[in-house]
Amino acid sequence: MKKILLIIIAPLLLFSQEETDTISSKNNWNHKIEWNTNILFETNGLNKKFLNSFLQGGYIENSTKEEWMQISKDKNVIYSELKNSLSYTNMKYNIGFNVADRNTINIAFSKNLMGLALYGNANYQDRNIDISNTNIRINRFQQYKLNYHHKINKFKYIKDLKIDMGFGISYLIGNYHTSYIIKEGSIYTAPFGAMLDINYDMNAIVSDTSNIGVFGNNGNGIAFDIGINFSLKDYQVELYMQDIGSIEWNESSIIYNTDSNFTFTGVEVESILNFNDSILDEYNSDEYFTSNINKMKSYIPGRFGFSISKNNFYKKLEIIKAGVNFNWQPYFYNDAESFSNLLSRGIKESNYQPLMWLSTNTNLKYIYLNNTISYGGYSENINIGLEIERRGKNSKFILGTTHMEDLINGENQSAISVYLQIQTKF
Amino acid sequence: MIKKTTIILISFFLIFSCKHEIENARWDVDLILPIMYSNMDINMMLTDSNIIISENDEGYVSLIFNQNFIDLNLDTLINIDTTADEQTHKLDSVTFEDIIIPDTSTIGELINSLPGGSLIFPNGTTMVINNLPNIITEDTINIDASEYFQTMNLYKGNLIIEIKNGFPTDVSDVEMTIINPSNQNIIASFFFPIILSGETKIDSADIGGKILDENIIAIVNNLSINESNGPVTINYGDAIITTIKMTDIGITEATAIFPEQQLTEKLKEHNFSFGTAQIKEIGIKEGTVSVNVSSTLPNGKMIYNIPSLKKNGIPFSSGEMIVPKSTSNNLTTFTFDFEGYILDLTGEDGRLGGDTVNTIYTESYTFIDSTGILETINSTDSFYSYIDFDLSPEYALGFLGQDTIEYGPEEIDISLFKNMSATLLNLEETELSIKINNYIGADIGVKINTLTGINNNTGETASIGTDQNGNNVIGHNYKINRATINNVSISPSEKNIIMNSDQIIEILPNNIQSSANFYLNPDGQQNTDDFLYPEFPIEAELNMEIPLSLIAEELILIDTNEININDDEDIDLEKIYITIENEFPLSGEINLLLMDEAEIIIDTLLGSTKFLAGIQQDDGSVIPTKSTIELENIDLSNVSSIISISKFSTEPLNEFVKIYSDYNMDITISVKVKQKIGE
Repeated sequence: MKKILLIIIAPLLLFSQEETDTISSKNNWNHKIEWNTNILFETNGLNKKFLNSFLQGGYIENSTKEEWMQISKDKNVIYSELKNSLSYTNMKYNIGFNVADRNTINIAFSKNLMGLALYGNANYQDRNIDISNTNIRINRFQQYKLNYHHKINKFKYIKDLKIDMGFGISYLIGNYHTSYIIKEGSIYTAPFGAMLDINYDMNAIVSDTSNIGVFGNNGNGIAFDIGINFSLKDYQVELYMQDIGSIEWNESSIIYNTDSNFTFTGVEVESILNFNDSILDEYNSDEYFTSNINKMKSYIPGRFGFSISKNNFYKKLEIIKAGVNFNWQPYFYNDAESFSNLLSRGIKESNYQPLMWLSTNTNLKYIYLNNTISYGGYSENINIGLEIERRGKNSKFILGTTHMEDLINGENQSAISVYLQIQTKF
Repeated sequence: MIKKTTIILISFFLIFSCKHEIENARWDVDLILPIMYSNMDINMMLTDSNIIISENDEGYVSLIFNQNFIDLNLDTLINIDTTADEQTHKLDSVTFEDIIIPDTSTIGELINSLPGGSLIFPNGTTMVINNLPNIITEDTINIDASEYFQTMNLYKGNLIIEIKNGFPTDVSDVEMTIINPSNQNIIASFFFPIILSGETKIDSADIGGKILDENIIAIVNNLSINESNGPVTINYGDAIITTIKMTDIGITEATAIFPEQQLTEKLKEHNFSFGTAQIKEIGIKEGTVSVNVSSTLPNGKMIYNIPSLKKNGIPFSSGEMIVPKSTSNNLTTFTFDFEGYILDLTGEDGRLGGDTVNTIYTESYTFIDSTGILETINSTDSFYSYIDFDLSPEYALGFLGQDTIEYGPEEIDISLFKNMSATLLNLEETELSIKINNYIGADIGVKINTLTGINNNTGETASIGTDQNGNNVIGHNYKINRATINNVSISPSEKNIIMNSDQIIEILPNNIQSSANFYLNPDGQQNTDDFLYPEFPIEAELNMEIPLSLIAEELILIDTNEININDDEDIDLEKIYITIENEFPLSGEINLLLMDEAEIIIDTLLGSTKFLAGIQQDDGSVIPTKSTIELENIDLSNVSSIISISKFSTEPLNEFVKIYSDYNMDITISVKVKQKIGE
């Protein structure tokens, strides 16, 4: 039963991966070491071909551009994460330590902006391109997490109730951060390009680029985890909030704050006949941007949500579990903001749609299969997850994906997901 | 289990280790963006620096074109660049100071020379002296002149002998001969029949043509003592004193210690030639006077003065010019800077007959310097000198003379129409004038011989017609009065010849050919002195005023502009758009030709593309028209310049159209480029 429970819980790592072992083993193992690798690419409108073009390079033909334009949404989201972590848990004292290296890319842009980037503005003459809510965030950081579980197994009035409360605090070392956030913006190109009218309210941050090695320390931060799991007979309810934190980047970060509205008709010259390309040098001017070098704070991708599960659900389906997951990542820190505002802003600015999911666990002869179906997230679509688990006497190996549905789509798949877990206990 | 897990794990990492070689994604984008913008009014369209654009109160524009026409400088009339005052100073005038050599013969010496003389005539006794005939014969006196000379050949001179008889008795039959001991030649002989006691006798001889050595011998051939007149006191100190003098010595050749002496002095006037000009004073702007001199003397010296050349009231003097002995034909040159000097050309101060013109007064002196050592000089030794004047005048005063200065034929380029041609050009009114400014303090007459406009492109020519007074410009004598001057400035006299020029201007001349005669002081000398400042000559300026009220058909402007486009492989220029928003009442057509570095046309960028004229309203306002010209297939490689050929036509073509200063032509150049992203 306990093994089954463990198998059921394993897929939840995808949504609350740090919320592990909320139900502890009753074996005599005191120590657990675990390696996790998670590779995730999700987009709501584009596909793997789009990703490959940028990852693998090569020339992008017009036909490809047209294909992308056709599949793109009015608002396109691309999210990618590569995470590797190693954790140790002392199961006797319910305390654990986790070290993770995390790389995240979170991009949202309009279809028109994508067209502008792919085709240029010549195709948008006499049209106003809305580039509002465009955001690009690229993060790399290392996370050192200490977590603790407190379990309450005896209640006076409800004998079967068990509560497992988990707490975690992470020290974050910021390695690299770039963000371009355009809250409001538009680009108008007059016929024949006789005039460009550009409006934008943009904030951009680039962390210190002189120190971007794997372990370069360009900022420090703290993140918190909190979770609670109620277990009553065959039912469990779990609430969690994970990686809610920020990194304050050091003083060498470059910050651009621009709220501009300018109309450009070319460099004004006295005589149009004196043409040479020195005039084009005017384009290299930075006069339109104001920059300063300062400290600033950005948020790491966090998440929160809840789930309900039932054990011994139906024959081979030993466990069934459903839940909702929210991602949270505000653009910037604003010290004059209320918590509720920050909470709602973080959900909105994460580019992530609430993910509703349902999972089951099947015990086959040699392996366990965990199946998930979900809707929402960055892909804003129906996702099918599959996980294969092989257990040993004191070890476990898991290989899974949350986007089984895209494995058969080849180049057209809009999501890629692979995760791996290796666990040993002693 | 562990084994299987390990295999799976290794396989997994191998799969993910197959990292694709890093390569950027690349794609092309079509960018279209403005690069240049210009709001051009008539001021900006006409960039010729010779054009002044004026407007009246209504903003009606006139083009005023000025070009220097004639710059007639008359400084050559008064330049002093000549060699003058050639002189030779010969040494035949060398003199020598008088030579005086005394000799004393006492009575004691004479008595002691007699046998028992001192016993017979003891010193201090008083007795009668008897006749002592021929008591001195063939007595030699050495005259040492070595402190004066070693040898001298004289062309003149006197040898004077002076004998003072200090004896108590008379002496008689005194006969003396002066001999040059080296050749025993007799220089002179003297005879004194009697010299009374206490008397001094003098005699002299001409020693011209004689040669004197430094040691001369005087021989007393005879001297007799006469009987005393009664007893006399014998005093051994009483003496006959003989003094030999050589005076008024003129030397042909001598080896001597010459005293410092002036050899020659030449004071003279020198006349400069200024043609018919009669100049009284020249202020020297810059220039030099060089005194060139040679001397055969080992210690020659010269002083050259020009009293009529002064600076701050101080006459010029060369000071002592030490002239080294010439060893070749080369002369020693002493150069003096005469900047700021004033040269008085009225001759010597207080000259007989009063002041003159064109004349300077000079003084030259030659010397031999005393060196304190023996030098040999002879009558062939000499000084030779002449003076080089190289003076640029700042001004000249006097009468500048009467002269005819021919100007031309000259051709001047008219840049205004240089790159212009037209099928039809009709200007409502034009004005061509020649403004002559006379900065010279002399009357000037002008006769224009030719004034013809030439269009080299079409071969058309047009000559000038009449002036504002109805005179034919060609051949008419115009008089321009003299300029006036005060202490600070010259006020020129101006003559404006205004001409009917439609015929010339409408052929769009790029060249004007002209010739003229200028007459200096055509009415002769006036009561007022003339003046001439070469920096302020006679200037003539061609002025063209063209009010822009015109009818033009295919008025063509051609311009060539260098371009410098770097070849950027990441940018492929596909199109250039020229958007013209035109308020001018001129429609147009543009051709753009591409030219390489060898100035060979290699391609046509744009062929005969039209743009529209602004639409004039009845109330005088203009509605601009917008035209966009599209340039395709642009290959600017190897292009170093663009020739733009713009054809303008007024609309409508049957009435004059006025151009106002507030007309504008907005031109925006935008480009469509294919930019490679990711490379």
